[in-house]
Amino acid sequence: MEFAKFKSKLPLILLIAFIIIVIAFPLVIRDRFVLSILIECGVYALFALAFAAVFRSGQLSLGQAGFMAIGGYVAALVATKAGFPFWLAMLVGGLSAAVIAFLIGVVVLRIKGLFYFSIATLALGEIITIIAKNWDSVTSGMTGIAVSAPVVNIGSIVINFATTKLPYYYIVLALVILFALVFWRIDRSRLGRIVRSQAVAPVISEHLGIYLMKYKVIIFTLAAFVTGIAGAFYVYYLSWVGPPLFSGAQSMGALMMCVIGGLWSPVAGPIIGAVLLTYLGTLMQIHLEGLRPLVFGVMVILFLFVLPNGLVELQVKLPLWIKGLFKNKSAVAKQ
Amino acid sequence: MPPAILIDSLVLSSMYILMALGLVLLFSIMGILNFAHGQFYMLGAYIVYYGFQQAGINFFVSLVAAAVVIGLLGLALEKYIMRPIGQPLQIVVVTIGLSSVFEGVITLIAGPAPKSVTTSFPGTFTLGSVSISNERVATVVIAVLLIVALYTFVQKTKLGLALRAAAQQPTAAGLFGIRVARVSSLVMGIGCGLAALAGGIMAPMFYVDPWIGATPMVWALLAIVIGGMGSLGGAVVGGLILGITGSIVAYYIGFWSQLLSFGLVIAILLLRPEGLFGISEK
Amino acid sequence: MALLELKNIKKAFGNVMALEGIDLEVNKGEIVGIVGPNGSGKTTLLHVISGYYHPTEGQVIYKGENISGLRPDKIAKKGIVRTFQQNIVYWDTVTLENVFRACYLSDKTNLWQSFWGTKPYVQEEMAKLAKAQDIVSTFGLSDYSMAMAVGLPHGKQRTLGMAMALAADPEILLIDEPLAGMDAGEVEIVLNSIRKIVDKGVTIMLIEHNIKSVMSICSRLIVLDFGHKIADGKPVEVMKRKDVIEAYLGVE
Repeated sequence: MEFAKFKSKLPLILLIAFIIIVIAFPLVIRDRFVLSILIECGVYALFALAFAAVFRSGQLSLGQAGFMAIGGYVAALVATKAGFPFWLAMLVGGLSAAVIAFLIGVVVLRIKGLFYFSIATLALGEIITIIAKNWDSVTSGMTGIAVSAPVVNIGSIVINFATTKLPYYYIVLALVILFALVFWRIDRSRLGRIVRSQAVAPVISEHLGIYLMKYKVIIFTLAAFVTGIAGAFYVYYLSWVGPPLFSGAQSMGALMMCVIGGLWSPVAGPIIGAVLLTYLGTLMQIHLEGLRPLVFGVMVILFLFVLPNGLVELQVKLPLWIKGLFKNKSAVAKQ
Repeated sequence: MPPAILIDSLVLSSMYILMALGLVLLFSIMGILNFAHGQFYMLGAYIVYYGFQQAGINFFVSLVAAAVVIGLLGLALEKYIMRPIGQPLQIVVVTIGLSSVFEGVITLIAGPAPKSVTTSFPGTFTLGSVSISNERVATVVIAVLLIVALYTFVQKTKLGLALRAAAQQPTAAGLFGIRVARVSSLVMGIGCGLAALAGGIMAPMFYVDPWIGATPMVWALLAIVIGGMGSLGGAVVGGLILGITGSIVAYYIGFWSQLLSFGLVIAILLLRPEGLFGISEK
Repeated sequence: MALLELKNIKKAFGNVMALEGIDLEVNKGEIVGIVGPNGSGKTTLLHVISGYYHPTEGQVIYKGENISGLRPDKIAKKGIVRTFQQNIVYWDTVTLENVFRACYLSDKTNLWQSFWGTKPYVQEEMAKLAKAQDIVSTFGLSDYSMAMAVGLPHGKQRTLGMAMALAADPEILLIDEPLAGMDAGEVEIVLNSIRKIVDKGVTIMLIEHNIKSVMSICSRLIVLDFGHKIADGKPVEVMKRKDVIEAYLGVE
């Protein structure tokens, strides 16, 4: 029984093979452009994973990019003003985002109805952008804050992030794998089941004794933590943080990644959606501005009609479609 | 405090109120939140730009054209895209997709560079020792006229009565012979038309680019949360409050007034989640 | 002491009084039927007891404790569980998992343990699974346990609603029109399931229109009309009363 696999482990061989491929990839393919796109894919994969977790708990977090901004700015500030090392700055960035999410969540998640939370998070994202643009003394407004590339010493090996992008790739890869496992495991465990109960049928869940606010707050806080870390990482990667980086459009982007990748899957859908859309999106943006929002918008609408559960649903639907094609043909042939 | 700020607060309020009215109509009658609402604002502005600025058509005619075109667009979208989808959550996602489509289409057609629309009401007039821009006054006057027109329609006409009935009790309204589907289309048309009008009216005062719809969208949402998501009067009050904090309060404390607005919304959610004029569910 | 007491319960919606001062006592082990014409306030009464609505006036007292206005989940934890008239089930999954999710109140291990998949957690989940399967077979749904809950035929879906309510280990079970839309065979199954539930020590309050079935199973009958309680006693006696018959005039 699918849902009764309380202790199941991923098909280990598949996982190991996948990890080997992904680790070896940049060493084999030495194209710097491809590498940079993949790193961005990684950042958005983290973002999409977090967004999906909140979405599957029944809430639409339209300001999720704001948590990336918090993570990014806090990390930049502690790095430049307090001299925090790379990993610590990222951690602090993630925690700051988590704290803000917790405070907002405790207030807004208790209200019934999908919309209040969405509006509040949308407004939060907007407010954060406004603060970033205007609070010159702290955020340096539109100029932003420059962050120097980290230099990490492991024993006698010195890794200077300024010279090569490769370490970024491996770090984001590790983060994606780590948090993918975390979210996957949560989904399989009690927390996942409870928030799914609430998302699907809140009224009967409540009458069966399930009160959801605590659980939704946990998920929301964790998602903000992951998003904050992604933001902090991104800032280090770009060596800069500024207001244009994290906009409401990106939160919408995360939604689109999840819709196209597959909303009912906790891990596969968001990652596939993130990689696909980031890759395609970058290519489109380079060639023709405006093409990306148009294509993605159309895709989202089409998918909602045809593949409401995203690409992940293809594994079920594609065989059915193909069978359908053959059935029609044989019916015609018989006439 | 210079009186110009007072006028500014009215201008800002007008924008928020027009947007909020459109949004709240949709929400109270159809139960959906249209995240593409801001894009109708932007499209209205572009229609005025192309009509008035580029083709030389009279400003008011361009405004009406914007309202009609966008109203019809909204109607079509409601009928062919939103209604088939059915469930509120998915409709919200669809509107987000639509929002993206509009952004893309306009960027491809008009390009990302901002455009400007020259005002039809240049100059200022003096009242005693104070000089006020004609533009701003005209904007407020037009907005007030629209709001009054909407109020008259909703309160005094048969169609408006049907609208209010459908808003409060869709099933009962259906039993009384009101065709709720027709009302939904009408509401969508009016709501989108209002947004387009707001965009067109504001166009000469700010610039026009594919992203000008985002901010009005957010503030409209906040306005209806403050006012109550089922209340037209609430939308007006909410818009006024936000307009005042956004300009008068902002004059004194700068951009922190935005935080204040947000804090106000959070306070409402904490203390009276149904909004100032909304109805409690329990 | 009565298990459940309603003292002067009033519920108003604006100017409309849905319930006008209901006084009521339910003792352990009873099967209380609530009947009355449409709009008499039966479901509203259930809503008030289960916490879905707050009473405008009056108190709901359960085991000596005032529970009026508490959150539904707290009331459910105390032992009052209900079903819904418009049957709601978890549409995203199969029948068995619906009942499994409803076993929430049996959870003892915490989230941290569940995340790591510790032994006590797994054992608890297996026990819950067994319990769910047991309940599913009690209600005759075993053949449907792997079918999507939302695709079940109407009668089976309503039975599922009751199964889920039972999974929450109620002391009092409030059932809203369990027999609606069912044929004679299904009615028998549901009535037998209700008898089995009672044998397990659960007290039942049920709303029904099917008077014959109500008479056959209820130990007590309460009649509501326009928000008032107009009769309360043994089914046979209550149904003979003139005012009760008048209230039902025109209704079968």
